[in-house]
Amino acid sequence: MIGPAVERALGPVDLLRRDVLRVLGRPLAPLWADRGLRVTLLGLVSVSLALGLAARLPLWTLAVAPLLLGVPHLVGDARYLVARQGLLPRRRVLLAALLPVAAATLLGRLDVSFAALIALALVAQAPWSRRAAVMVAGAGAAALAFTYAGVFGRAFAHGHNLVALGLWAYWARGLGRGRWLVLALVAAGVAALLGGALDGPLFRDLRAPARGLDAHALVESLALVSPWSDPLGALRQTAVFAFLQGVHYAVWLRLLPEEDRARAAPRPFASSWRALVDDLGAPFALGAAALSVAFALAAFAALASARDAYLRLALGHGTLELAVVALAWMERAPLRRASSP
Amino acid sequence: MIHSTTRSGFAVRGAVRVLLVSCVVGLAQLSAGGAARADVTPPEVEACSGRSVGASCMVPGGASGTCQSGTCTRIDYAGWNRDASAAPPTMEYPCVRCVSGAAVDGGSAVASGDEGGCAVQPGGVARAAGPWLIAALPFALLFARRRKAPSAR
Repeated sequence: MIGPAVERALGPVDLLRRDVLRVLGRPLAPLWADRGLRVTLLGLVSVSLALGLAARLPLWTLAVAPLLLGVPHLVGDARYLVARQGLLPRRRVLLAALLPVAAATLLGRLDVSFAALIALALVAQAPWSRRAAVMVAGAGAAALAFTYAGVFGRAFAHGHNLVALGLWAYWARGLGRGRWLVLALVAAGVAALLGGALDGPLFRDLRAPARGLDAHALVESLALVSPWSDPLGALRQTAVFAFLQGVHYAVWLRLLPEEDRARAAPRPFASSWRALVDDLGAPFALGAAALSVAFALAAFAALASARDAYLRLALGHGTLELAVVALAWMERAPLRRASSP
Repeated sequence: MIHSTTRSGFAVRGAVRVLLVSCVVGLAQLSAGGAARADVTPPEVEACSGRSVGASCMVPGGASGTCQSGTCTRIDYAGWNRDASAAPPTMEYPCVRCVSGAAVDGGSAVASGDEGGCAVQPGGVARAAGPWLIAALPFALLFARRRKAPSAR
């Protein structure tokens, strides 16, 4: 009932989209027809925007971006790494991956989530040697996450941003030079932030967006070095996190969907919604949409608490990404995408 | 990749097995306790979130403690004039934090000393060994399964 209503509600938006495209048709035609050109341009614009925001408004970016883009990117995780990989009918695999992640979320414990790797290795249809390797990796990660919870959690948070970028680089290998341009811009952005080239804008506004989200608190929760021993380096690392977090949202929300769509040209909004429902089911799609709106609204009411709640919800998703990659590696099944390379 | 219906019984048994393993792993890790996720507030302050002064709490290392009023210090990045000073200024603010080793007697908290100390706490060995025992569990299950069905992959 609600699913078709959403589709009908998107009708006027699609009409507006059609009119805009009619006006801008000729200049945009090459972008519409050429997926590679479009993805390269989208990638360069997204990375530049993420860098600009991270350098000029790092605290606001860290506070608000997860609440606006977090849930949609989790939907991207579920869609491109679970549903589109054909894992939904594989109930044992699904349980093995999701139960530990759900337990980790409930307990607020990252180390628990790595049980997903161990459980997946148990149920994978793969050679024993590969399963053993994944078990050892999972157990090692769990032990490290348990023993060095703070620093491991921060390193994992940084690393999970790069997992998204790595997945896109793997998927977009048909892009050729465009892929390398985007990756080079990301590397240049990280180097500029760490090297201090963007200290000017970085220090322009470090006022707390909300109580509990002051610069020190955010730096302490995200930097790999202690702000007490290296305050400047810790702040720059935090800005790098804000930058790469933005890049990873762009990957899940724009770049990977472009790569996974069978048709080269973008779809109307109603078709996109229909495709999402086909992949994940109407209840999941509607629930995710409602949750996205709820977090966005909560940002206005209680920014710090809403951010904390979202981070708790998303605690295990990085491990889920690793687990699916590990499953593909164990079963020698390349990660699928709809478009050809 | 997709299981057929002829294998549904096996799939259900497998699902139950995975569920059990996951529960065992989750419970074992829960009982091991200890590590908490990184948060935006200092962990010893987070440990007293929503608790009043004098309430019992658990410090990040896993030891028990008591919530006490105190003063916390943070770096004032927003007030850092890098042309004037190479080091950032700091500012103090009132906070309630978990102090380890404090004993509560009649409602008054008594700190026993250095909150950053490294005294061995009861259960510390179990907490440290927990993940390694958990890591060994799937191997035991895998070997047991292979011995039962040597032809199964």
